[in-house]
Amino acid sequence: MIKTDRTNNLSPSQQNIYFKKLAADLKANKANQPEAVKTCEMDVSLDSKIYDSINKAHDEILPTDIKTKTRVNITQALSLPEYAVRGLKGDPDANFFEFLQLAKIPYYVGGPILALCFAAGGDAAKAITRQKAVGVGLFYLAAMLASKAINVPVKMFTGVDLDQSYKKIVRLRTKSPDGLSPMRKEYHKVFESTDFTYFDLLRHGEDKAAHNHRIINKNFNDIAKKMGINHNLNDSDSTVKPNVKKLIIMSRAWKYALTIPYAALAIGLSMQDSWKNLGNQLKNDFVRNALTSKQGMSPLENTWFRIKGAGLTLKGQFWNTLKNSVKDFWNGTGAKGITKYYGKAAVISAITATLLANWSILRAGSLKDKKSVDVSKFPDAIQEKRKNLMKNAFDIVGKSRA
Amino acid sequence: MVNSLSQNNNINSARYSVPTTILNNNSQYMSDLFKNFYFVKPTAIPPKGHLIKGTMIPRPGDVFKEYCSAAKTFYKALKGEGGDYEIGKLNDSAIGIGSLGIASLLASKATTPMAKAMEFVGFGTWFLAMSVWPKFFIGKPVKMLTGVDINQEYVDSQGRRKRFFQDPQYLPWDLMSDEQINKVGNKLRIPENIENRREAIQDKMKQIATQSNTLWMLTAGFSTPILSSLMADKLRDPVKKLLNIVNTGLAKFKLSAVNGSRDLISSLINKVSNMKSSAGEKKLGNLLAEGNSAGIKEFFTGLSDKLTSNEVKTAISEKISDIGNSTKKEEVLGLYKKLTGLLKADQALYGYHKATLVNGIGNSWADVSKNILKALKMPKDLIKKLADANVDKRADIISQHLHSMKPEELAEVVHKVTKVAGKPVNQAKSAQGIISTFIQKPFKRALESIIGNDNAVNIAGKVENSLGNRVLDIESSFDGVVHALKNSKGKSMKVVTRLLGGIKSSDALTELTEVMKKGGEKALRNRLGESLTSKKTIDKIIDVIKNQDSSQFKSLGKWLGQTPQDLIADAARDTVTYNNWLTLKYRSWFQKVGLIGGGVLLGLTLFTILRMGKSNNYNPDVYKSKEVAGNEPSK
Repeated sequence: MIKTDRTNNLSPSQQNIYFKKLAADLKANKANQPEAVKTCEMDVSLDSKIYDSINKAHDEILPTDIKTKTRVNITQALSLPEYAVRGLKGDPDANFFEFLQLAKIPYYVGGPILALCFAAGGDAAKAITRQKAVGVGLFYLAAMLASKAINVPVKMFTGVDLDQSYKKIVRLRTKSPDGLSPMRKEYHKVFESTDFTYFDLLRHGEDKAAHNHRIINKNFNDIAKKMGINHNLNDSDSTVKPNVKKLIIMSRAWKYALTIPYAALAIGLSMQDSWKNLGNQLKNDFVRNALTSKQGMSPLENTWFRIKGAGLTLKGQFWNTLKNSVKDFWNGTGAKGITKYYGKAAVISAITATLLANWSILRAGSLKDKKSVDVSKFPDAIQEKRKNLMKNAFDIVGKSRA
Repeated sequence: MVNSLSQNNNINSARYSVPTTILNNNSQYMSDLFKNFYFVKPTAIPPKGHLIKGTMIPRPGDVFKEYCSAAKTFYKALKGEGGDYEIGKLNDSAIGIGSLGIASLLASKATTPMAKAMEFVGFGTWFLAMSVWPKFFIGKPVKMLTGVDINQEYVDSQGRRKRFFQDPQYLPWDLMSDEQINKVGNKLRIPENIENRREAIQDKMKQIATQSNTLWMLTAGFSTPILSSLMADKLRDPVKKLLNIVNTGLAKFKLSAVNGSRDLISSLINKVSNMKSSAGEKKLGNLLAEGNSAGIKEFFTGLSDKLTSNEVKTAISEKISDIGNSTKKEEVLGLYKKLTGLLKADQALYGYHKATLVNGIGNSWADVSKNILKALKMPKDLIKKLADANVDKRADIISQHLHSMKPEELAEVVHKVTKVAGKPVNQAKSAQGIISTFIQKPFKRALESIIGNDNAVNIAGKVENSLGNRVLDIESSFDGVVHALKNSKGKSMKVVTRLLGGIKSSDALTELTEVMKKGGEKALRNRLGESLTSKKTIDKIIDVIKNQDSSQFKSLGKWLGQTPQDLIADAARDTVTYNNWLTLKYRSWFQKVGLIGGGVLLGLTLFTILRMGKSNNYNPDVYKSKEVAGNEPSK
């Protein structure tokens, strides 16, 4: 976020040399002679790309469109082999983030391997394997939904996007004698930590703040508005920040808690007999609907027809089975005694827990009843104070620079 | 002031000076705002962190504490209070509770108690595997080879328990003494005479820890399900035995609850059943108030359907159909009380019978048979031959073996078999004793209260007889083997074969009727005496054959039990297949999961561990020798 402020009128290639030379000088204990830096000659062996990127790299918030999110997810997934190789070699720069990223491997591998352990039982274990595999799949879906069940309403009603990613530049240990650190990119969530929430990233148009200080709190103003403050705040960031921290804590706790009823629901659904027949006709249906050409159709029509056929087959197999399992679970088909009501209990508890979670989070996150000063009602006094403050501050900074 | 500031070329100094300047401008508001931030010196508290020893399996006390603190954290989090560490810990607890919930849900769908128990066993082994894999299969070899304990834990100044090597960028090295570090350094063969040896060792330890952590994450996805399913599979037999013990114990308590015992569990059982009966009483009261005679009849029919014994059901059916016409509250409620008492006695009786005689001895049947086979000292090839032999050849094979024995050897075998086979028979007899006493006292009393004394005696006798069949089965089967072996002493092979062949239950009726026709009762008694020891059983069979009582034909098989040849041959088959890992299907499963899956995983893991701590492009292992006095380079 904090960009290097260098105004010594150098072209990009000259700037690279500046770094290179600086490093050389550091080595020769000549750091106190900046004049020598400016007069140095061009070095053709210099890797301008690296230094250029080091110069420009900074942490930045990423757009929330699906394209960026997909790109980030793919990049993160593709980084795993690299993390694994470096980790296995014992890279001194390996960090906890990489360890946590690697922890996704057992999470996503463990379930399918468990299903495979059942599959090793052969034909006799076919039905139970299918149910376990469905259970594993539905569990991952449930865990994802438990997170979304909080994130979506929180974003909608408070403007805090708990899913918001940012690109983090990690400066590594210096290895080369030039004194510059190599760097790596990581993708984090802005609101991943409550102790060290990266609020700086939400500051808007920092470079223009000297001319228009209002612009800097634009994001906080938006959040404050969504949280229920309908007037102008003098400093929306300090009003909003404690509340956002509260939101982070509550939503994380509730997400973990919601995983319990959601997982129970997923496993309950996978236990229904309708899944036992899943895939029995899949191959035949698929061949019949998606791979057989229909006579009297143009190739384009035929392709479209086949795609439709494939879609219908999958819908018939998965969607209908899921629907049936929900029905069976709700009605307690095949269950006896108290277990007959487990389906209803699981569905109702998942819904109730979601509503309760969102109600409590949004209630705590609301600023409606909080007292705050409407800056537009006291424009003169506050603006005067602000003007003095900014003037003094910039004066001093200016003077110290001079 | 301004002058002094201008000398500073550090932007931070300028920031510090802002409030001072504002103070000069008499801005009280800003000075108040910044006062605490800028002018209060932080007080340094000496760190209180210390190393602690981690455990292979989480201690129950620690787990309990963890869940208690998780509950507290969640309560605080609901108010918006908490930190990253505490909230992160909540995830572990949620996974634990969620998995327990999943196991309960799966158990509710399972049909047998064993299947239900195995769902919880699976839950336990899953978490055990998660804990054991990094601590034992990775941690122990790494420690053995390098001296680095990747499972080292510490408590930080805030009292939070963490893994020492969790975050390679923040390792609390100050908690480790020079002695500890040097010990690892010596094991890692880091040269003694180098500059900053402690740092060099720390770097190496960090390298190994990073390598181990990565290996853990790469393997855990495979190790947890594989280890978990293998452990759960191995726990099948112990779980079965444990279930037997628990079920028998519980069934005993139910019997003593009916007997009016006042121990803690019995009174608890009584309390629960009283609660149930008072709820039923209330329901019945409502039906009476409504005058709903059909409802009352239905209520009682539903209640009598819960009875296990068909004899009792038939005996009380008349009373049940009559009660629908009665409108007297006292009469109806009285019958309800009596019926619930009978139901309680019936359920306790049949529950005990099932737990002890059916499941208890049934589960150990195969083991006892195998021990009998073991006592026979049959060579391996003969066991295999016996396992594969046809029904007609079995007795021949065993008698051949017995015939090849010396008399003293045979005597020893008989002694051992008597000991082994006697155990289930004695167990069965003692259980049957308890059952008989129960039937003759509380069960008969409960029955008496509804259908009168004479009928009760009759019905109780029938119930005792039908439940007694199982004891006769057990007795005939195991005593039959002992009896056949005892009688084999000094007999010809033909006779021994005949003794071992016993009386097959499928042909019993024809065979025994034939014997009866040819030689009369005496001949039948002799024939039965060759296989059976119990006079009571022999009398019963003779009675049935003599009277050709078709209602008892089915029971014949139970009274005769398993023939000695079948019992020994079954054990042989079990032994052979057990040596081949039970069955072909099981062998194939174990080969795939245990040998291929687990073996390859373990092999790769150990191979990777062997390569740990070696120098590479990230860790070049370049050490600078320490300059020692007298060893300076010459100028």
